[in-house]
Amino acid sequence: MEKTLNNFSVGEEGMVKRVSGERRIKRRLFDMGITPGAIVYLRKKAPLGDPLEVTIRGYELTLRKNEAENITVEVEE
Amino acid sequence: MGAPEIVLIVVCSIVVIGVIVAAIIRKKKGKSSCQYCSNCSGCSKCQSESTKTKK
Amino acid sequence: MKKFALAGNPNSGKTTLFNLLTGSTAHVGNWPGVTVDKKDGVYKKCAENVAIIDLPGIYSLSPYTPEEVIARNYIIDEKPECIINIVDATNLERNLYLTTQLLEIDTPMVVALNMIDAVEKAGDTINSEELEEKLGVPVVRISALKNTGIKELMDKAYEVSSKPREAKTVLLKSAIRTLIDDVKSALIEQNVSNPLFHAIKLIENDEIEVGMHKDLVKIIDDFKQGFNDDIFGTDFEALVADGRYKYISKYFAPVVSSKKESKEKLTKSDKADKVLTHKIFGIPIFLVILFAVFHLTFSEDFLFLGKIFSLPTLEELGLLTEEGEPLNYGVRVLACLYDGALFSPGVIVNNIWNDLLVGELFGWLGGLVEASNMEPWAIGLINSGIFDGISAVLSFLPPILVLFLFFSILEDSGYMARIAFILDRAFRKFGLSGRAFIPMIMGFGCSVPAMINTRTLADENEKTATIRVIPFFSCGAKLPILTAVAGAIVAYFGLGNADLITYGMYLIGIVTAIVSVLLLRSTTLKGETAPFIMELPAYHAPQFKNLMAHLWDKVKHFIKKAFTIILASTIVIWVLTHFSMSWKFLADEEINQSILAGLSSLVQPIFTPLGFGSQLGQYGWVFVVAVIAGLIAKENVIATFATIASCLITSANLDFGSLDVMAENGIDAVQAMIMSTRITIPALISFIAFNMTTIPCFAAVATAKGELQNSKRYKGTLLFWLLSSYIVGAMIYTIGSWWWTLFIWLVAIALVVVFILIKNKKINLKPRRAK
Repeated sequence: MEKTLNNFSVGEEGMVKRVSGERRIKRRLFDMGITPGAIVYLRKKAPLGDPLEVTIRGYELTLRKNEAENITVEVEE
Repeated sequence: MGAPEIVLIVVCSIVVIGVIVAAIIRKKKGKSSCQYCSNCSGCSKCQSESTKTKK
Repeated sequence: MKKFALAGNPNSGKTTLFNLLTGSTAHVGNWPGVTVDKKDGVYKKCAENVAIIDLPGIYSLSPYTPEEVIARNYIIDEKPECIINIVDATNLERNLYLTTQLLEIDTPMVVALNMIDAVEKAGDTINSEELEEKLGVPVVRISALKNTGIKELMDKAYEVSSKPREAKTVLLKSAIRTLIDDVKSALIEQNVSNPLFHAIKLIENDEIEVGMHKDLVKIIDDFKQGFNDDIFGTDFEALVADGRYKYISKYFAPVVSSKKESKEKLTKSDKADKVLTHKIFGIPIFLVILFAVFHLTFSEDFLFLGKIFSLPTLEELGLLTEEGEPLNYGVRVLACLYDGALFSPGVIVNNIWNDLLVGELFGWLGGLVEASNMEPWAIGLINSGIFDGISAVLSFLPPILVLFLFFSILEDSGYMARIAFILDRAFRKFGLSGRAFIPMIMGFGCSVPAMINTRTLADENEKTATIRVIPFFSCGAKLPILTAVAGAIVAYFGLGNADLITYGMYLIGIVTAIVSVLLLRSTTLKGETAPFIMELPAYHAPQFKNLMAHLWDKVKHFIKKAFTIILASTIVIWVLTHFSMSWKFLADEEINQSILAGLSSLVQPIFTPLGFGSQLGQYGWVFVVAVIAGLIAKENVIATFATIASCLITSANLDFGSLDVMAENGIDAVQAMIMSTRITIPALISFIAFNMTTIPCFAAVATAKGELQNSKRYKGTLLFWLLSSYIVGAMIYTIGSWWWTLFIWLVAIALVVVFILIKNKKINLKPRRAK
């Protein structure tokens, strides 16, 4: 099942399928390791659910909900 | 005016003029951003924090 | 001299390594044209001296940020003899992403695998020989923190620096390898150096490359005609980035053998995060921590023990003489720690410094001077001008240091970044990102590094707005103004509680900042906030050595400032207050005929709406001088009062008993001011507020100018500071003196708000947030 990262619950994990969005944001996400095939795990949400903290490629990355919208992830049912 | 007084005047003048001159020189040189806080270890800290994220 | 460049991710330990290599030879400057620090130094332990240049921390060599552009241009144009790529072993994959790009440049290279100790502690191992084989460049294990492996690293770097290296790319197995070859060949024909690097960047549609090699774009476009990837289509930029990571995952990642699943490991960081960044309790905890910092620094009733247990005062214990002086030296020492209440650490240090050290020293020196045979004017210059001014300023070293220490701990530990994360959403309601929080808090220490730290805010408008409000977070130098005036209010009017007034003033600064941000971001500095995609480094206990080094730096700087700028200022002020317009020497009581009095009196009326203008009468000009002297260094405000106080007392015939201007942190000096001008409490508060929000010291102004790099914004900033401080001061004074003026102000504010709303609705027909 496909989901965008901003719809994840804490503790969910999946494999990145594709990354969309404005060029610089997309590039930035790539540079930080969010590429198709990478496993991403939602570690925490700030109060009010924004921003998010994810584990990717062995480290912690934060990003806002509207930035996470760009990341489509495949999760197991 | 005795010797101590003269010494005093000289020293004070040197301090005042020295500070003014130093300030002018700094302006002309284009300051290194660290010159004021002098925690250059702080500046490198600033730098590593400042490059934590870029556009 | 050979040049070695240090390249690596932020937080990879690059700075620590740089400091180890260069020691005292380190020099910090600026890369021309941009606000990025340029650090270089010399390493002296190789066969010959080697210049070390520390490139900005970067995640990639893309053309999007000034740091990345600087790094890549340096390597390409300056052709260092060797690149030392620092890789954080605890974060291997992402660090290697940059490595794969560096490998594509024809420069000798060494990989420094840093933080090996942390990896091993976590129970993992890294096969660095395997990594070396796969990368094709030497890999040296180091721990910058523990200073191990450094010599081996530098020897290796020196060794490879004399052997040319040919660039390699990990994209050789990708779908675009033929394209890479073609473009590379074309570039070789054009005699371009680093053809592989330029070829790949060109294929990525890199703006800089496309500009330089327009002719070759055609080759790429032709290739695109017959190419289509399932996922990326013809987006080669994405394809390349993805290609790199795929290669890293497949070939490099396996060199790490992990004992446990890293994501399920609950590290110490995670445990700390559970509490400190808790959804509900995170912010309250932060407020408590902030309160604790101020309590530890300023409180004269530590942990409120005095109140709770009704502890006896020194007087009640019979430890004071009839005049209220300590019976003996032992009691004096005790008095630094306790009097009816236990003092907080900050206050204890302050008392020891002032009563036992600075007070003694200057008292003794002053006595010597008094007893000497020098002429009265000379004695006056030294004792009242120089000693009083400087000791008043020196008396503030303890609180400034203690506050600075606490904030350094909060920052170094990584806690600040966490708070930025929690606050981001809230900050966005005001038009700023959570990241703007860090420079603001740094402002409590000193505005200069705080303004430099705004470089993390990519959006120009957001950065400008943050820079403009940083001075409202009162820096260490403004502390003297707060404590001296607050203390004087309590001592003279017997009203209130010095701690409370101090907190209150800090709060006014914060509130002004919030209002200003709202105002600025809805009028002249509108815009979107910068992206928040950011790495959260693990918590780590701040290192004692580092902290002490920071502190020592601060002490050195403070003393230097005191004995140069402030000393010069006090001398100048003394001269200008002891000579009349016709250069006749004046006695203390004739101070109102002095040059300074004359000049300042002309300006005095401006401050009438703020309560310290014409209504203060003939001595009011001193406040004007204090404000102006404050432009040089905020400590000067109290130094000015201290320098002039004794003259005032003589001139105005004040009944002051035993004036000890130096003691009590300038409180006596302020009391003298109160007595001679009959200034009211609202006006005093207004004075504090004005100084807190007006144009900061020249150093901060220069920093702001450097960071803004835009003459219009800079002038706007100066104007903003003048206006906001004037309005805040006027508001406090008028409302404080005539409470009903509150309504007039409210009406005015309402009008302004309505005006802004109307203006915005008229211009923005669509909602501002695009997403």
